[in-house]
Parts: sequence; structure tokens; C-alpha cells
Amino acid sequence: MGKGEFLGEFEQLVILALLRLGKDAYGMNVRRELEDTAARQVTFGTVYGTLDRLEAKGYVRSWHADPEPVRGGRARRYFEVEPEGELALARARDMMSKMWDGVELVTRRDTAR
Amino acid sequence: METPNPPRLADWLLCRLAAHRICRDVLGDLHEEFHKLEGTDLSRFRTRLWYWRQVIGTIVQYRSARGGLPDLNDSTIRHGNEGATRKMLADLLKDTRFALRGFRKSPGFALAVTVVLGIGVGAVTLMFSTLNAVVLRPLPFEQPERLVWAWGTSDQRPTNSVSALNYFDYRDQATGLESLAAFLVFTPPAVLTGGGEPERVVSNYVSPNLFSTLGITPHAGRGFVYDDERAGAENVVVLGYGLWQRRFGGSRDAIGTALIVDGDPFEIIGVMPSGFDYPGGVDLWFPARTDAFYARGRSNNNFYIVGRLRTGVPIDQAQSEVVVIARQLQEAYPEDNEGWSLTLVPLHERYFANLRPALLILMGTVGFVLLIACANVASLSMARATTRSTELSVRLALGAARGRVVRQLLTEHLLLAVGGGALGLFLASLGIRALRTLGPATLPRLDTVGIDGTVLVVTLCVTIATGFLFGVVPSLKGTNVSLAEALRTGGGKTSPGQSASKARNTLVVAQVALSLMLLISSGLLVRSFVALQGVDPGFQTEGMLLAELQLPGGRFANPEQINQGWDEVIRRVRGLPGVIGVGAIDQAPIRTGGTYNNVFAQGREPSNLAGYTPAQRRFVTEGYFGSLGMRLVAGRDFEATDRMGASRVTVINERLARQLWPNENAIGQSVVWSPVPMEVVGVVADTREFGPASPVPPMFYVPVRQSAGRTTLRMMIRTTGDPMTVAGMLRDAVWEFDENIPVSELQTMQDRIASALTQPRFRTLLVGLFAGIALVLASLGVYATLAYFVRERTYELAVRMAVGATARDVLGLVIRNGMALVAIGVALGLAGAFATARVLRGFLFDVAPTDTLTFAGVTLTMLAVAFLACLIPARRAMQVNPRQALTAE
Repeated sequence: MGKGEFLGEFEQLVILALLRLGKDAYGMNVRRELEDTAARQVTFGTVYGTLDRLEAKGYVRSWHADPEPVRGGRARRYFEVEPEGELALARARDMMSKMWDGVELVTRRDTAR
Repeated sequence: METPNPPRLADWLLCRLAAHRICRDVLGDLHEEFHKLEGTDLSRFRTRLWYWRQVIGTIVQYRSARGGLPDLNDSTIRHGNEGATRKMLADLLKDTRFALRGFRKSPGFALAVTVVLGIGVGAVTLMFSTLNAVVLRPLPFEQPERLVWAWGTSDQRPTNSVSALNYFDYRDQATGLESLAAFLVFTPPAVLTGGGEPERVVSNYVSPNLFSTLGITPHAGRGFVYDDERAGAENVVVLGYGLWQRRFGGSRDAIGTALIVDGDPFEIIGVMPSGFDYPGGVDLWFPARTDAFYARGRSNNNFYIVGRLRTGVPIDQAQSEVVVIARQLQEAYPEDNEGWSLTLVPLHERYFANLRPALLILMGTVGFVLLIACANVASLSMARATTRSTELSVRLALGAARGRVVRQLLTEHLLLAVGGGALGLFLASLGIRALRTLGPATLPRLDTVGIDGTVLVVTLCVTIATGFLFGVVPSLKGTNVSLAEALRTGGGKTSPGQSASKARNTLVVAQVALSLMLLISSGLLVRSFVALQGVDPGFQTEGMLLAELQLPGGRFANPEQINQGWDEVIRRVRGLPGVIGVGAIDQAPIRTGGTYNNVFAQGREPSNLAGYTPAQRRFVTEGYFGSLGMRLVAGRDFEATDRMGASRVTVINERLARQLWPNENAIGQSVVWSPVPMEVVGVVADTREFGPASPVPPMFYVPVRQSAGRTTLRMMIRTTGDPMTVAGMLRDAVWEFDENIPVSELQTMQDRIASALTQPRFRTLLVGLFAGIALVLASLGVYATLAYFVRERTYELAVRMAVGATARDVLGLVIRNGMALVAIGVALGLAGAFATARVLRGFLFDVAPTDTLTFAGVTLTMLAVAFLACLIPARRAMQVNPRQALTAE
């Protein structure tokens, strides 16, 4: 497996957000999901940057819906996880599980972010 | 309720600075979330803040991502792109904290730079906001750039009014002008009675198209139509907004009702919008009628003309057209129109051209202050940079990126600039408040001076230029010291690079020179103002009360009734306690404007217009000259026997006497005021009719009794003690006689003269204030430079003292160093003041622009203040302990 096929932490969060949102996965909701559930304050620029990269790698695909007045006449861009993306995500989770196996944390503090 | 929109500027920035796809995708989401947040109870401010943060963050992330990190495929590095923004902000915060710590350690520098910046920026902001409100803002009319003013022009009188008959011809024939309107030259007061207090308001007679020419539609009802100007039309009137509110409570029912003006009913047909009072202070407009007295006579130039150019027609084209029409009128009516033409000027220029010289002086003054401030900031920054050279070079040697160090300096100067700019805005707002209360009323639109968007932009630019530019560049130069040199020479105690100290010395010299020039200008203006105040007006100024009275039309309809009315009023007023003299005149002295009438000596009728003598005419009662304390040089005053039916008499002033009969006795001669010859029975001394600064005009006085009946006169009441104590009694006495006589414009002669001096007083104060500020700044510059000089030369001074120099010697050395610079600055300043002396000539009264006394006095003041500024660091130098300084090496 090439180095480029490993997902970074943030990329994983984004794909998870898409999976959680399901049919409602468009830009604004993805950002909010990250903010609300993962407590990550990010800008739209960051979110779209990551989504574009994931799409370039073929893990995610996007399409534009109809323009809406509340968006100043612009269309929503929806995202969906491709099978390769799910595969990459599962690989990342497995990798982490394997590394966590047998590890016990000495200091058991809840680190809130 | 209106749904608010996301900040458009943010959207524009995003699409401008980031790729199109980012703009496309992100904006939609931003808008949607913005509107969603608007529905929550998050405050408007916080929502917008969130929006801006998103936009800026996205821009930053986009641009730093594009800034080429080495491995674009390495997602582990790229995952936290929001970290880039956070890192930058963290760095900024760190730099800020470091900068603030530095300021706390040496507060003198930070304080000095902030204050100097504040003063410079404040001065510029104040001046620009005044300029913006008074001159730059367009006139409050529809498409004001198409409006023009038309002067009647002859060789002798380039800016004159026009007669109604000529106006009608121009109006009919000029095609380059979409419309041509006219209004009466004088604004006659009108007395409103019936249904409320008798009220005197300012009125004007205007052509029916005046409002439409200016592009102002009435607030209620209608304006005038051409029908209203014809002979025999109904009496109609248009109200001003203020009058409508005051007298009719702003009720639209007032339209159609009658208003009693000077005893006659006029139908109210309309109300003008709030703020409109053209041509100035007018509350009531009448349509000028073609059959009225002011419209008769092609030579009675009673009207001013305003016009609107047809779209696409340039003013030159319209001008050539009216010149042709003027020539045709000259041929058609040679006796009246010979030598007369029409000159068009843009309306804006007509109103503001005369302000230009004063404004230029103000701009020059502020420019000087700004330059001094810039020099101050630059020299302070340079000095500080040298003292920090060790610290900086050590940091560089220890591996700090040069860019990082530079960014640190930039942050520091940015902070100082922000602080200085804020202080400047605050000072400017204080200045504006002062200006609005103390500024001369002759400055138009003074009450609209304020800090608006344009002004803020200018403030920002000046702050950046002065604070940032002049602070950063010298600082950066100061970082160009090599580590080795800095460590070897002990950093802060070194003599700095030759070029740095030369530059600093040049800056100090410049500051001294510039502030000396300002101080000299100020000194000249002060002397001029003092001279103005000392001018003898030609009459008594103490204990004089003025009041304007008007006899209402109903009871005082014919000349006999009018004159009897005045006799009675004067008799009653003279009987009041404290009153020792009463006289009346139609136009009180110390005023601007006034109609010139062409007169000539009887028997010497001139052959053409140029041979006439223009003189000011006044109607007076007998006893006027005595009450006012005017000296009768020859002959006699008027008497009660000089009445209608008796032979016509006149009293002239010395000026007119000299002009008409240069080497003869004027008594017994006759002045012809076409077509009436009047025998000269007396000559009075000249008076400063137009104020202390203006030349004395030729004048002739005519008895009120021999006029057609003046219903409005100004009383001059000579009192013992304070004139204002008579004011209350005056009203009672007049109203006892007739309660419909308005008594207005009460003032003492001293106040009247003082208000004539408002403009020069204001100018003098303003320039004086700035000159004082410049002196302070320059002294600060001298002090700071010398202080750093001492600091840098501590080692050398210690050596001197160790080998035998006394403290006094050291003192002398430092002072000599400082005063040498000051002397050069003074020399340059004097040269500069001589060179630019001409500029002030128009503002000086009785003082030469190169007045020796002023130059000498100001120079000595400057030297004295500079000497004090040198003294403080010099004394500190005296206290250098040689052993301490040497062993510290």
C-alpha cells in the first residue's frame, strides 16, 4: 500500500461526518457536524479543501443540487462516500486498533478538547 | 421585518482572494448558515463576527495551502490546515505581547510616538473633515454640477446683479440653459400678524422656476407656476419648513389658508422641505411679479440669477451664447445695457471660491505640523533602533529568522500606529466639537462637519503613512548592524553609524525650521489681529445699543404716517432712563454688501458710465450723527425742517467730498443722484462702514423725511452704562406705542464690531494653536535627539570627565551640540519664512509680512524653548559617574 492511501486524522473525521449525515451531507452541515460532534472549530475553507482532496483520491464524490434563494441563488454541493473511501476508513480504524491493542494508559485523565 | 444580508465586503474579498470554486461552494454555505444564525438569539454583531472569521480563515487557509508545502500528498502534514491560521494568530499574539513588554520597559518612546502620531493624525483629520463638509461635499441640490450662477458683468463691476427685464430676455433666449431662475438681491423682512405673535421672518421674491431649477420639490402643496408671476395674479406664498412647524404645527390644513403678511392676506400654496432656505435664511417665498417695483427699469439690477445647464451642454458653450445675447441687448437698449454682459460660473465656485485662500492657509499649516510629526516619529524610531541593536543582532545570531525579527518590528510599529491613529481620531473629534461651537458663522455648512467614511479612510492612510512608514523604515535600517560590531562596541552605548546620526540631526533641523516658520506666521497674524482691533471705526462704540424696528403696513401706510410713527418711537425711546441720544438709519454700519448708487457732482455730468462715482446711500434721522458720535467736519446735521417738500439736502462723508470736489469746499455744492440734485449741507468724518479691515467707501446720507417712507430702520441708542439694560425697556416702550412693531436684532455696537472680526480671530486662533503644537513637537524632537546623544556618548563623556573635564564642561559640550542644530534650523526657518512671506500678505492688516519685530521675537522664543529642551539631557549628562560608566564596559 502506498503512503498516500493512509487517511489523516482530519480526513477520517470528515468521512465519518459524511457517513453520519447520510443524505444531508453538504458543506454547511459537514462543518457543523465537525463543530458539534467532534468539537473541531474549522473554517469552510479547511472543510472544502479536505473534501476536494478526498474527491481527487476517489474516496468521495460530489454533485450540485438546485440553486436556492437563501443561499443567494447558489446551489448546495452534496457529498457521498465511495466504496474506496469506506475501505480506506476501515483500514485506518483497523490500523489504530492494532496499535492500541495491549496498550494501557498510565494516566487515565479525561482530556476534553 | 427586513432580513439582513451578510457583509458584502466579506463576500467580495473571498471571491477576489480565493479560487473561484472556493468562492462558489463556500459562499452558498456561508449565506445559508448566516441566515440560520440570524434566526437564533445570537446577536447581530456576533453573527457578523463569525462570518468575517470564516471568510478570513478560508482566505488564509487557501493562500497558505497554495504557498507550496513540499509534499502535497502527505495528508498527515496537511490535515490541520486550520492550524496554519491558528499558528499565525499565535505568532501575532506573541509579537504583540513582546512589543507591549518592550513599551512598558521604555515607556518614553511608545508614549512619545503615540502622542506625536496622535497630534499629526488629529490635525490632518480635523482639517480634512472640515474641508470635506464645507467644500468637497456637493451642494444640496439635484445634480448640482449642472447648476451655474450668472453675474451681471461690466468692466467696473465684474460681479453684479441683473435687472428683471434683462433676466426675462436671457430666460427667453438662452437655449444652452435648461432653465434660468432669479431671486431678489435683498431679503426683505416680512411681518406676520394674526393668529399668533407678530413675527418677523426673512422673505424673498423669486422667479416661479427657482425651485424647479434647483431641483427641489415642495414637501407639501405646490411651488410656483409661471401664472403666479404675471401682473394681477393672486397673492400666493410658499412657507419654509421651520416656519410651517412653528406657526402651523406642521399641519397640512395650513395649505389653502391665508397668511397675513405686512397686513395683506396671502394664500399659502406650499411648504418647502426641511433644511431648504435658499438663498439663505429664507422662511417665506413670494413669486416675483412682472409689474412690481423691483421689476421695473432695465438698469435696476435687483436680481441674482441661477441656472441649470442643458444636459450635455458645457458651460463654455452656454457662456458664448449668453455673450451673444448680451451684445444684442446692448444694441437694443444702449442707455441701460452699454458695457454689460453676463458671466456664468459653476454654482459651487460662486459659493466656495472665496474660501479658497483661507482653506489653503489651513492646509499649509496642517501640512507643516504633519511633516514635523513625521520627522519626529522617524528620528525617535531611529534612535530606538540603535539602542536596541545589540538585542536584535543577538537574536539574529541565535538563529531567529530575519523575517521573524522584521515581523516583530512591524508589529510594534503597527501597534503604535493604531494607538496614534485612535488618539488622533479622539483629538480630531474634540477639535470638531470646538469648531462647531466657536467657528465663524460665515463658514458654510459648519454644523455638518464630522467624521464620516471618507474622513476615516483619509485618517487611515495618514496613520499608515506617518506611523507605519516613517516608523518602520528607520527601524529596519537600524537592524542592519552586524553582530560582531554590536557586541564589540557594547551595543547601546555606542556611537551609532555615521549616517544614522546625520539623518537624525537633519530631522531635528527640519523640525526646528518648520516650526519656526509656523510660529512666525502665527506671530504675524496675532499682530495683524491686534492692529485690527485697534482700528478707530469713526464712531462711538461704547454704550451703543442697536435694534431693528419695522412699522407694520396697516397703520403706517403713507410716508407721512411713517415719519410720524418714527418720530413718536424716537421720542419715547429718548425718554427712557439712561438714554442720551437716539438716531436711526436704514442700514447700520459694520456690515458686508450694500448697494452702490452712481452719483456725480452737479455741473460735471459724466459722459459715460465710467465717469460716475459709485457711493453708498443711507437714510438717517436727524440726530443720528450725534448719537453715534460721528464727527461733523463741516456744515450742519439734518433738521426736522428737512422734510418732504423742502429742498433736497444731503450730508456726505469726507471720502465722497474728496472725490467729487477734491480741492474745494463741498458745502453748498450739489450731488446728483439721478435725477435728483441734493444740496450738500454737511460733511462727516469717514467711518469704517464695512468693518475695520475694509477701506472706507464714499457715502451720502439722505434724511428719512425726504424719502418715500422707510418702514424698517435700525435704531442707534446711546446709553450711559450697559446698553443691554435698556433693551428690555426699549421693547416695552415700543409696544406701548404699537404692539405690532417687532423689535429684533438687539446687540451692542461692541458685539457687532467683534463679530465683524470673527474670521480673522478664528484664523489667528487656529494658526496660533497649530504653531504652539509645532513648537512643542519640535522641542520634543530636540530633547529626544539630545537625550539619545547623551545616552550613546556616555562612555566618551565618562572618559572626558575622568581625564579632567568638569561637570560644567560636559554641560557646555552637550548644550553646544544641541544648540548648534537648533541654530541651523532657525537659520533655515528664517530663510523659509522670508521666502514664503508673500503668501500671508492678503491676511495681514497693517503689518508687513517680513515684520522685523515679529521675526526677532519669535526667533528668540524658539531659541529659549530649545535651550530649555537641551538643558534637561545636558544636566543628566553632568550626573554621569565616570567610574561607574567606565567599569561597566
